[in-house]
Amino acid sequence: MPPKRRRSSASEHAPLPSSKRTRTRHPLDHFSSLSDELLIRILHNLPIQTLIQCQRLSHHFYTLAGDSQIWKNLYYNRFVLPRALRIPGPKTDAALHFSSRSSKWLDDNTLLGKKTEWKGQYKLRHNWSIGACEVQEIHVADRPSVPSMLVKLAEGVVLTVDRGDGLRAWDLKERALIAGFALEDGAVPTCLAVDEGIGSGRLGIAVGFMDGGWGTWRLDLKEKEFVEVYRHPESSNGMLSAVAYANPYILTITDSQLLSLYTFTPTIPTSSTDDVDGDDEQEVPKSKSQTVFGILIAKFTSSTDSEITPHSGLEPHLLASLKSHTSWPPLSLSIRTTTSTIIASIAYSLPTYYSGYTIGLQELHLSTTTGTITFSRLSSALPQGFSSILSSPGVSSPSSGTSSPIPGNQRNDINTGSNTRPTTLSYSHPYILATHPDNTLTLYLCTSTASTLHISPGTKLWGHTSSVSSAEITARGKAVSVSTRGNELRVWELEGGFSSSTPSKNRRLNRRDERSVKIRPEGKDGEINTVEGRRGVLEGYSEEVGAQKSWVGFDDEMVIVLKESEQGTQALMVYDFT
Amino acid sequence: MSSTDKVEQTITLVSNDNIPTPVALKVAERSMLIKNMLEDIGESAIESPIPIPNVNDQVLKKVLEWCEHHKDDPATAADDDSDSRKKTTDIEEWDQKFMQVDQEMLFEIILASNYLDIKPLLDVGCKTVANMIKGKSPEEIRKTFNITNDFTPEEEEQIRRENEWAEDR
Repeated sequence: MPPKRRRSSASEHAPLPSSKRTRTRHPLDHFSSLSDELLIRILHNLPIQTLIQCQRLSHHFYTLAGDSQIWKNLYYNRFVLPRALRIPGPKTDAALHFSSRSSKWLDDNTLLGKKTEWKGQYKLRHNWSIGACEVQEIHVADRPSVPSMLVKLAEGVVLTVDRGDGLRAWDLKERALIAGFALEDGAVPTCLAVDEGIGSGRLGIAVGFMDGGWGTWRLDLKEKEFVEVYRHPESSNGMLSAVAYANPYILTITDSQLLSLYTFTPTIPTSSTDDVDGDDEQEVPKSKSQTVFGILIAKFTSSTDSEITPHSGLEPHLLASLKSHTSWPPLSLSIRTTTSTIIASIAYSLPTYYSGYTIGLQELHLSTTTGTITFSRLSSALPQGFSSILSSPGVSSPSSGTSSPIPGNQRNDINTGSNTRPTTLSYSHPYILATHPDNTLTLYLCTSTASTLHISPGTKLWGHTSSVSSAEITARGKAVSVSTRGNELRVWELEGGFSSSTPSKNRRLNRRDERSVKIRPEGKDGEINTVEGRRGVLEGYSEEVGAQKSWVGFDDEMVIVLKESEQGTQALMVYDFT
Repeated sequence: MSSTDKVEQTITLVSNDNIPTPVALKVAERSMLIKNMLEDIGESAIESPIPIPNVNDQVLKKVLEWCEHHKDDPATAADDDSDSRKKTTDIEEWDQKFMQVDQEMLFEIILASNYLDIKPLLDVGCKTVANMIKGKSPEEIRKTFNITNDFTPEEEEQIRRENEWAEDR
C-alpha cells in the first residue's frame, strides 16, 4: 500500500520560493481531492511514458504513480502475458487478463509473495529487452594466461581460475576481489564448474587440470574464503577438458573423451575391483552401436592414497567411466538430479558426411540409491538443411517470404548445408546453444522423457556481424552471446523454440535476427567507466579494436565478459542492467 | 419477481439535498450498492424511499441518466476485480459525450459511481481523466487540474533523471 496522503507533510518537505506554492493544494484542484485508491485507479489507465510524467507533478503523485500495484500490472502485461500466450495449454480469456489473485506468473512467481519493488523489476526487464546497461571493468590480470583464464558466474560472484593467480572470487556489486586461493606450482587449470546448490552463502567449485587431476573447493561468501575440500591426483588419462559439479557428483571428461562420474556420497556400496586406482582404466572394445560412450567400469573405490586430501573420509567414488570414439570437442557436461535419478549428460559436436557438424547428446541415468547406471541413451540432431531423399522436394524448397512457422529442418536457409564446427556449446536443459565462427548460433531443443530422448533440428540464429566466440543459455531460454571482435554482445529470448511464436510476434519480428537485441552500454565513446554518463548508443569502443572477448556469463542483473586486450591485460567487463 | 415486473417497478432515491427521484428498479440496480441492499432487506424496502447520503441531486440525476442508457448492458462478471480491466482507454461514443462535463462534475461522477458501486461508470470516469492526462507534460497536467507543484526544480530534475530509462521506447 502506498503511504496515505502526505499533503500535510509535503509543505515542510520542500521549501519553495513563491508564496502561492506554500499551499499544497489549490482550491480548484478537484483531482487531488480524490482518494488515493481512486487516483491509482486512474493512473492504472496510463501508459508508462505518461506515468513517469505524473511522478513529477508533486510529492503526492510521485508516490502514487510509483505504486507497486500499477507497475506489477505493467510488468505482467509486458513480460509475463506474452510468455503465457506462447506456452501451450488451455487458454481462457479470463485467465489471461491480469488479476492479482488468479493470474499465472510462470517462473516469475518467485517475485510474488514478498515485497517486490515492481518498478525496479520492470526497469530491469526493460533494460534487458532493449539492451541498455552500464559497463564497468574489473581488472583481473596484467598478462595473458595460457591456457586462457576460466570464468564462471554464480550468485553475483565471478569465479576465475588461471595458472598464475590461482582461484579467485570477485564480488560484482562492489567490483572487488573477495577471496583467493593459490594453486600449487605446475597446476594448470583447464576447466571450471560451479555448484550453486550446496547451501546458502556457499558455492561449490570444481576445477580440472592439465595433468588430469581435479579438485573441489568451497567458497564461503560470508567469511570470504576458499576452503579446499578435495584434491584428486594427476592421472595418466590426460588433460581434463570439461567438468560438471552438482554436489555430491562430479563429472569429468578428458581430452581423449574419457568420461568419469564420481560421487562423494560414502554410502554407495562398493564392489571389489582389481582396479584400485581410478585413473588407469583400460578401454574395452567398442560397445554396441547405440552407444557413443561405451560403459567401461561400473563402480569401484577410488583408494588413492592421496596425501593432499585435507578431509580424509571424504573420498570420491568413481561411479562410471565411459569412453567415446565419435564425439568431438567442444563439449558441454551437465548433471541434473531428480529424487530417484541422476542424469549425467554430455552434449558434443558430431561431424556428418554431407552437412558439416551437428550436435549429439548422451544421457546417463543413474539411480540415486544404488549409484548404478540404469540406462544410457543418446540422440543427435538432424543436420540443418538435411532432407531425406524420400521427402518431396516441394516441402524442402526454400520458402522465403512465408511468415508461417515452418519446422526448422525444412527451412532450408540460403546457406543450407554445411554447418561449421561449433566453437562452444552451452547446454542448459532443454536448450543447447552452439556458437559458430561464421557469425551465427544454432539452437537445439532437447526433449527428455522417461522413454525418449530427442533433439530438434537446429535453428540458425543470425545477428552477429563477426565470429561468435561464446554464448550462454539458461533453462528459461534467455541467452547472451559475444563475438570475438567488434565488441558485440547480444541478448536473445529464445523461449518457445521455433514454431510456436504467436502471430503478432511473427509480424513484428519479421526478420529472424530481431530475436536478439544488441547490448547498448550507456556512456560516451570509450568512456566505459562513466556511471552517470549521458545515455547514448555505443557502437564500439575505438580504443579496443584489438581486444578479444572470449567468455560470457550472466545472471538476472548482469552480463560478464572476459576481455583480453592486445597488450595482454585481462579484465572482466561488467554489464549492469539495473 | 419476474423480469417484466422489474421493468415496471420503480423505487425512489433521495439525494443528500432531500430531493426524491423515482427510478425504474432495473435502472437503479446498475448500482451494486442498491442491488445488494434490496436483496438484503427484501421487497419491503422497495416501498420506502432510499436515501443516498453522499450524492446531491444534480449528480444523482446525471448518474441515473447513465444507468438508464446502460440498463440493458450485460452484467459484469462477479470476480471482475479492479485489476482485470482491459488496458485500453477507448470509450464508446455515447459515454464520451456523457462525460463532456466540467471537471467538478466529472470528479463528482467518479466519487458517486465509486460510492454507488457502478464499476463500468467508474471505469469510464477514470478513463476520461486518464485521457486528459495522456501525452501531456507535467506542467500541462498541473495546469489542467490546478495541481500545486511542491517540488524544488532540483527535486523535479532528479525524478526526471530517475525515470529517464522509460522515456524512449
